[in-house]
Amino acid sequence: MITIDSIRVREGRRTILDGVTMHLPRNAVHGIAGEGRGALLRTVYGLTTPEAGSVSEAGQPLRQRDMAFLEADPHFWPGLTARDCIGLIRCYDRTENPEALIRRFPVPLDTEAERLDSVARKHLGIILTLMRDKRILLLDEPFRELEPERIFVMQQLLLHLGTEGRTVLLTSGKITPLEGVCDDLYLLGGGCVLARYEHYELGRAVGIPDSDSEIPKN
Amino acid sequence: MTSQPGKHIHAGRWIRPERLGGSPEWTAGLRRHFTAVWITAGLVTLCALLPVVGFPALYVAAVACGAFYLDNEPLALLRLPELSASRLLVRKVLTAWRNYFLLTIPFTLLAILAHPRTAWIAAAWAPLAALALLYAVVAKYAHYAPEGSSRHPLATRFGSAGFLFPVLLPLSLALTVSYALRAERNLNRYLHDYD
Repeated sequence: MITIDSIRVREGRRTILDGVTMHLPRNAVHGIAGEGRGALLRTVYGLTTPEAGSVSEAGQPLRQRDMAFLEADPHFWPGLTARDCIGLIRCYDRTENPEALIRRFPVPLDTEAERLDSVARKHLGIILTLMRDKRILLLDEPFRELEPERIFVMQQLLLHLGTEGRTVLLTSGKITPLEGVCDDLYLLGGGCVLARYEHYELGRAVGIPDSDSEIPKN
Repeated sequence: MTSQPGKHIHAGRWIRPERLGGSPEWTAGLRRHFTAVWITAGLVTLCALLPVVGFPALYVAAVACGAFYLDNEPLALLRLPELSASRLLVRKVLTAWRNYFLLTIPFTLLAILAHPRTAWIAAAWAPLAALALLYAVVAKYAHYAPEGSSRHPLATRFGSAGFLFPVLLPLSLALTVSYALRAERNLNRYLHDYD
């Protein structure tokens, strides 16, 4: 069980998260929507230091070595091609074979990663994150920028990841792509958790029958 | 030589991180400064054919390779090897030495074969080149900050200059020790989870 306990995060004078508490069972896909969702993932990964609160697993602080993080808008080091970025991961883990992921999320491999368009950058970010054999995956807006057919592929991958024993925390600006994928959904607003929905309740999340509503931006 | 957003890179497949010891610095550096690398290789070849100047030219190339270590990589790349601060520093230094000395093998052989009587200069070249690369690595990580732009204080620039102007060399040596200690402390802020 991953426990996010009373997290408070400020950005300047603005309080983005104020007392967010979640209990996230392992080996499941957890959706997070609403204001401050990106800040919450960055805090869980340790990129943002919370003013108060903690993130732990079985009473121990969550370790970065167990997590992989996909940024909402992935950026890469200038000078490296997409092939280099994949090659660097393979340098440290030769067992990882990215072929299947590259087929699902095509990327021009010999182009500088930083110069790719936003869709290809997202594809590369997804490939690099999923190549890493981590127990906990933090995916910030994995569906944003994706074409409809890739959204379906991503949903299938997420279902597979959930069943193979990974814990996935993912954020989304829309509820629709999360339906049928997430085991539960947390809705953030005003700095705290407004509601929690089980997977069978996602259709009535945020009170809109077709659940196609856009959640406020990060 | 900080990153230039408008500059195109050489995208050839023969430059691979696997061949460069998994070093993002050398991979990105060779791609971004591709023309400069070939010009340097040409000049070093010429110098290797002349008496005495072959090894000093190789040493200047080592100081120039320090430019690969001017930009800060993103945190994800820093954490990729999953090593503690001290181990990562050792690995970065060993990779820099490995890449430099492997790439200079043909020029070294050429210099020795062309002028065997001046081959003894290699005894001074090897440790000085290794020291210059060590300085470049520790100076980078002493000031490393993810997301932030690379900071190069005046002292660091004087330290780099010390490898070209002997009068400043004592400063460079003192800074190397100071930066090595500071680099480990600095990296611990980002890599404490891998201890």
